[in-house]
Amino acid sequence: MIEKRIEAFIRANEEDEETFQTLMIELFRKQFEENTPYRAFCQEKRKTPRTVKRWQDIPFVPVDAFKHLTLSRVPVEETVACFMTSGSTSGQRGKHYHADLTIYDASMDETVRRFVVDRPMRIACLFPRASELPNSSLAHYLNRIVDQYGKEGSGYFIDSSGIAFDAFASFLKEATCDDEPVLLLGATFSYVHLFDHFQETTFTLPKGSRVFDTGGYKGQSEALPEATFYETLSAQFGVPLESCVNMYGMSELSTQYYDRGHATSPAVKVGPPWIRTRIIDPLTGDDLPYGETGIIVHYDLANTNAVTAVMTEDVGYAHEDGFVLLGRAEGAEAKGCSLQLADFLQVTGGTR
Amino acid sequence: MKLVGFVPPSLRETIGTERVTLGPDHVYCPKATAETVTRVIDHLETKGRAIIQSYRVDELIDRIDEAVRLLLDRTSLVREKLLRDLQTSEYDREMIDLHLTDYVKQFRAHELRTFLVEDFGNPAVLDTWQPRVKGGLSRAIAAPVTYHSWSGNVPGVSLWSFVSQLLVKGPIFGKVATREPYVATAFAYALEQVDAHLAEAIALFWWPGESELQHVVYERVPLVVAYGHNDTLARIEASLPVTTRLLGYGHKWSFSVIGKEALDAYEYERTLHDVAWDVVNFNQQGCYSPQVVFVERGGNVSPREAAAQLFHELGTWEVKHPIRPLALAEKQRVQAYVSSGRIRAIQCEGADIWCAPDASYSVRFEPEGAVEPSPLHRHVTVYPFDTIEDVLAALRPLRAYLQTASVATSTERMTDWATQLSDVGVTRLAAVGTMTGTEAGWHHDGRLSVMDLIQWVDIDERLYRASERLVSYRQ
Repeated sequence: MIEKRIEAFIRANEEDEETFQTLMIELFRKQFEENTPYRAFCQEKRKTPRTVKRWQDIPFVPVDAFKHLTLSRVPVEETVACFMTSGSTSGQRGKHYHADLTIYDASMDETVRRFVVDRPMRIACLFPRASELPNSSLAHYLNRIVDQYGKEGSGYFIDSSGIAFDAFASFLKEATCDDEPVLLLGATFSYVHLFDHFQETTFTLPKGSRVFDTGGYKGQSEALPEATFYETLSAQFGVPLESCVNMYGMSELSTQYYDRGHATSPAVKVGPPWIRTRIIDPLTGDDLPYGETGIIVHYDLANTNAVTAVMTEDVGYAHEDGFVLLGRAEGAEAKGCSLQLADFLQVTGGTR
Repeated sequence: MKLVGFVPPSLRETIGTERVTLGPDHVYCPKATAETVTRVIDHLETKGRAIIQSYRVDELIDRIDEAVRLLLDRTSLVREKLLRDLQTSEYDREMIDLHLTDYVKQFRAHELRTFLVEDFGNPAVLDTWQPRVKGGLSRAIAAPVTYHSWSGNVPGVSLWSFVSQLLVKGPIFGKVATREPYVATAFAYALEQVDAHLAEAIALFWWPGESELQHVVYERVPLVVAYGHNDTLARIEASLPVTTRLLGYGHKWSFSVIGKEALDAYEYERTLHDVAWDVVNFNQQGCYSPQVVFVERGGNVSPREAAAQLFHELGTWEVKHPIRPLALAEKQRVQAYVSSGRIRAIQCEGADIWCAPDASYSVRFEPEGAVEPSPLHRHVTVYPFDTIEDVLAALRPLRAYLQTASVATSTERMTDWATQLSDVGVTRLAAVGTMTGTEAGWHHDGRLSVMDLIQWVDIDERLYRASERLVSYRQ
């Protein structure tokens, strides 16, 4: 079964272009045959298993497709998990169905060990438990880290009423007293709330402590420039910039990217051997010349049930070790006098 | 070296130029400071005004006509320089060349006389007191200086209000558009070449949108003509003293309605070829460019077949007028529109999309679902309809933004549809293929072209009678 071979490839965790290529093409064929909406999508683009010979040719779907189409090889009723996007702008949420979570977990186990934590530590999780957010891939991910690596004294410091600032402060103080390095896990905007709460009160966490953030702002709080955010993080917790790690992931994928700390900014996102990125021209689908800014497309071998190739709305450029994420493309204002999209939507009450 | 803007000839020595960056171009434009702007306005209000008012209207028409001929003449240096300056525009050379000719033709003497007769009936009111049917006399006077703020990248949009302003014998202080400052500049220099005296009533400056200098102007002029986004117009209005009038031209939404008569075996190819031209010209960026096409069911050619044919016609035009590469954010917007079309085609049985391999143009067919705007740059959706009511229902929320509707149907139905479309807010009904070519004296956004620029002054009939009693030769 292809899933078994993919799992083995992931656990081997070694660069192997040939095997990656073979597995991607085989997985594409399965998705083409078993995922009806995806097949229709590919056929319209004249991309079929006959013509697709390399992973770069696998037709990518826009993230929006997860909102409007059911992308699942296996009937939805038989899937064990449905991770949904946060539905930040349009209200509609994309759905990524997982037939089972073996591969998702295998993928995160390998990357977490390499980029986040590789031994038991005291962990503070600033994100709700998975039981409270069953459709959140991030909750699943963070909870699993706590389960696998959390030493005694670890805990969750967020609930329905918000961040438990006092309990969190106690956790940090205790760790400092015990000289126990800690791992902080949280969404980016949660840290911004912490900055606002603690203000001038800083902590000096024991050597070996790490701070992990993910998710960006999602319109929740005031956006800080990236460099400022990490400087503040480092200062607030007394943790060097190299130990501040960011994870870039999305519900539409099964694998995550990481940077190697923020000693340099902007940080380069690095991924494991079973995921690839292309920077493309969104109209032609062609690769842009190396280093040019374009739209980011991911090819994730671990996306066994849905679609391996996903085009994001994010803009970035290629780098030796991976890619640099710049954010959203700046809105192009109308140059002529024809009514702009935003104004039209405002008037008709439509959503995108 | 690109020169942008214009200073009245007698002030040129004392007002220098400065180098600025406008998009991809480095240009020289008049040095813009509160001092220079004030000095120019002083000059326009006094010397400039005296000069332009000393002309009779038909003399002004002749001067403008001569300047326009310089722009029409393919061998003239003025035209050559203008076309060279416009090379950095996103529109291809041939499109500009064609457009410039078609567009500028509207400002020849005959057409100008038509504007004036259209609006004034008796254009001599601009020269002297003219008798009124009701008795008494009236005269039409322009403001001592009028400020025109132009915007957008469609070449030559500025000429409309520029020429109108001169026709009413009012000095003009114009701020050229960042993305297309060349046509107004070229016209000003052409006029100077024809008559340097008249050029004393013209000043063209450039400054960035947020510049404080606009407020210097707002304090001095009683009338502002502005083009731009509604937010910009609102900001301008908020900055004006209550005694200053604003004529604003905001962004608009236009569309096509194709009746079944235009879809018979003989007509449909030509109809769709023309609709495609409306889409292609200026890459849909004009306020008069169609964003969607409504096609009636029941013709020999079905709406879906019409959409396929429209796609084919866009391809034909693309060969003649290839589109330049878009900016990344524009590409992304087009991509989102095309993806949406592909997804709709999978979700909904009747929906479809035809897309060029590099997505340089596309047509979507949407039998159900609400009207969605186009991302522009030659991407359009065809919506089928059974009765004109279906179309009106979709248009009603957009009332404030509607402008041009092209209509292809029989005369009887055309006038009937025109009535109904005008009731929901359309201000211009055009033939397919001509949406982007406006006619002499058209009412831009339903407003009068030249009349808006003047103030009427009336001499009461009783004053005339009273004065008659006091003449030296009274009996």
